[in-house]
Amino acid sequence: MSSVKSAFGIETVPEHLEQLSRLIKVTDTASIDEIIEIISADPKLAQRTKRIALNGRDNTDEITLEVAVNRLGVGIVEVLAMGNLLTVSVLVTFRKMLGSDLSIMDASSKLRRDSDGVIGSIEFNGEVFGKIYLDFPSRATRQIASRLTGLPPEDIDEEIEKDSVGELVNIICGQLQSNICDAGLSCHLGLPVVDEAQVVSIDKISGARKEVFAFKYGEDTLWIDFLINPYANR
Amino acid sequence: MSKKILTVDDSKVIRMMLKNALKDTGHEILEATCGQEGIDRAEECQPDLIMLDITMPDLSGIEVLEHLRTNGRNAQTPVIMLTAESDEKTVQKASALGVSGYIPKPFSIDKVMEAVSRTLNGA
Repeated sequence: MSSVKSAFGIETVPEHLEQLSRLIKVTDTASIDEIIEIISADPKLAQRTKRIALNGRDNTDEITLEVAVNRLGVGIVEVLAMGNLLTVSVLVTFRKMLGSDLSIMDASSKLRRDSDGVIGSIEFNGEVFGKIYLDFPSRATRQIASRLTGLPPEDIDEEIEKDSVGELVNIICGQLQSNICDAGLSCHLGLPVVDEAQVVSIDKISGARKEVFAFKYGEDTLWIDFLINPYANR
Repeated sequence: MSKKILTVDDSKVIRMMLKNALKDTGHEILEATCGQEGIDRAEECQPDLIMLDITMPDLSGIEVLEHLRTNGRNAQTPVIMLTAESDEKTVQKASALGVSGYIPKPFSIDKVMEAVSRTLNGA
């Protein structure tokens, strides 16, 4: 932890931050051995890398990590490492702000229905370019707004619902952006935009890798679409 | 003794959370919904403490802080940053402008209350 952050008692996520920071550094030298070493130290990241290289198939024994990285390219591994940081950010935000422990679901095996709620999105610009969409089902949105504001659910109006989602998106993505900056890639965030899910379409971003995450929140599922190009302006 | 606390945040939800948490302290809670309004309200009311967000649609919290520090009445007013931006460069900028505390979002309300109490009591 840096001395200025430590002076204010600001926590960091050392393990995942260190992982991304090392990947960014070795990307420039393109040393495949070093990249493999970093990924191997995190079995979950190694598993995800292999599975994506196999187009989502689960039988990851079919492929070595080296073949997977060569097939995908190092940029995608960086995106996967950023996904680790995004996941941590979601879990910590829900725990601290709402007192809720979310559980991570396997997004590839879960059926995604059309959302009846709202989608909050935010753009990244700079050395990293992309957009993140957080899809909140209607019932969850009202509960979240009620917990944040302390108002009973029946007093929550549409404005408070949307503002609550916008603030959660801002907090989750703000943490991720701070970590990406600290890992060595400069970027900044736009302002969150919140709309009814029916009117939102997920943009295509040139050169971006898309990852989808799913989290269980009570009886509902929160979906996140993470589109990021880590080589936008490097 | 009752003190004046100004919260500057474009999020209505965060302002509501803070107001709700601080209502039993007996302090007077003032609100501003953007950076410029924050500067204006601080000039007008001279608060004992300012809780300041960074990402706002008009001026950033850092710009607000720079203005407060160089323009008269609030040069010495304690400021606690309450923001989703916590990268090292941003924390350093705020630190150089003499903030009393820096609380990254997500935060627990207990941590906010503790920082408010510590700052107002001059610890």
